[in-house]
Amino acid sequence: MSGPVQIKRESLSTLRATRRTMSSARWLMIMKKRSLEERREAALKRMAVEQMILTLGNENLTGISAKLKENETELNEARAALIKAREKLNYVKAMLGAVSRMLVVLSQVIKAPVGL
Amino acid sequence: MTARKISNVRIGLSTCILLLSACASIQSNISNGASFAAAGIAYIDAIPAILDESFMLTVKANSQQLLLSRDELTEDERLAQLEASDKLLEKRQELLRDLNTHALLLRSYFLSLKALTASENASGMKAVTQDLVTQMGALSPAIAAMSIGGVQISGLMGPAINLAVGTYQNAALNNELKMRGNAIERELALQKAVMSMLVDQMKDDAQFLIETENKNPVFEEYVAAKKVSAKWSNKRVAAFTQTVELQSLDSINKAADNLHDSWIAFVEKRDVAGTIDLLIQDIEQVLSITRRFKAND
Repeated sequence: MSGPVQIKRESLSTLRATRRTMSSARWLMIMKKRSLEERREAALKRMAVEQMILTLGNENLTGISAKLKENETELNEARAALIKAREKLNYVKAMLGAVSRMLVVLSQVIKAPVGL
Repeated sequence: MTARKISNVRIGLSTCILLLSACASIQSNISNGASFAAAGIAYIDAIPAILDESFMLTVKANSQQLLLSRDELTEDERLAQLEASDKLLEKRQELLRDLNTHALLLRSYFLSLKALTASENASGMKAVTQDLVTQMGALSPAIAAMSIGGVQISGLMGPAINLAVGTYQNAALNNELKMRGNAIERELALQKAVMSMLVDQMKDDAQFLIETENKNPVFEEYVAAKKVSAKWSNKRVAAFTQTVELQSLDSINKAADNLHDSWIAFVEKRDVAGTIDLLIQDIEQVLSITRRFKAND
């Protein structure tokens, strides 16, 4: 895994651990005993952590989504090649069917009494 | 039986055996391709439910955070937090939608692979050719009576057509794997990375919800309540049980890993029958998880 991706993933993991600590029963019970201003500040920090988790998660998904998009041309080409190969097979099948039908007509013509 | 007749019978039998054994080796590669395509389609069919569940857990966890913080914030701060969260969630929804659209493209690749490697190709061709031989026989009794080593030509058509169609399918498949096998490998490696990210996020959001919704009340009741309720112990057990269930999400990662590894083995012409069986088991587990997601909705 490349450096920046790894750093983002590790940061995300640290932020998630912080979120859990700041939302734990122990933390919330400690906060209850603090002043209104301290509680407000803690709540704002908890939300800042939450939004950072969402932002980093989005960045990680954006990075991978861009790489998937880069692959779309080749994926489409691969699909088209498989469809073409299948079509060739169907073409041979259709040709054989047509020859078979032609032979039916031909055998009826040959079997038909002369003079008709 | 004269020596010439015995020799003819030998030629006939040898032709049949040659055709059948050539068919077997080619068919093994084609059937691996068909099994892989079926497994790939099943895996991708599970993706929308995984993406939906991932988003739902993110929204739930974010809502829980907003609720936990609400009482401490002013109205202006609440508005700012809600709007900032909504914006980030809208972006997440858009990214997941893109992943879903991309997965459909990969699904259509597997569908085309399935169509090319389908066994009906050989059987359909066999029926058409058999019909052709019958019609030729009707046209000329000499053709109907034609035989190789005492084996009627119509009897040889089945294995010969299987071989011809199989050879064509195999060549088309090998050509495709050679041309774009790496692109599909890259694609599956990226799918693996996406799933790993999503599973990490889902496990964490779910764990966070279990802790704030189930474990925190159990903790607070025991530590701060004047009296502990009779159901306290049961509530505590429920919180722990849910944590254990989260581990089942790992099967999503396992399936993505196996899909990627099986593809590499398939391209390298290694025996993939065992790995595909494991892959199908993993996908079954993923499907059972996604069914549980849907049931909980």
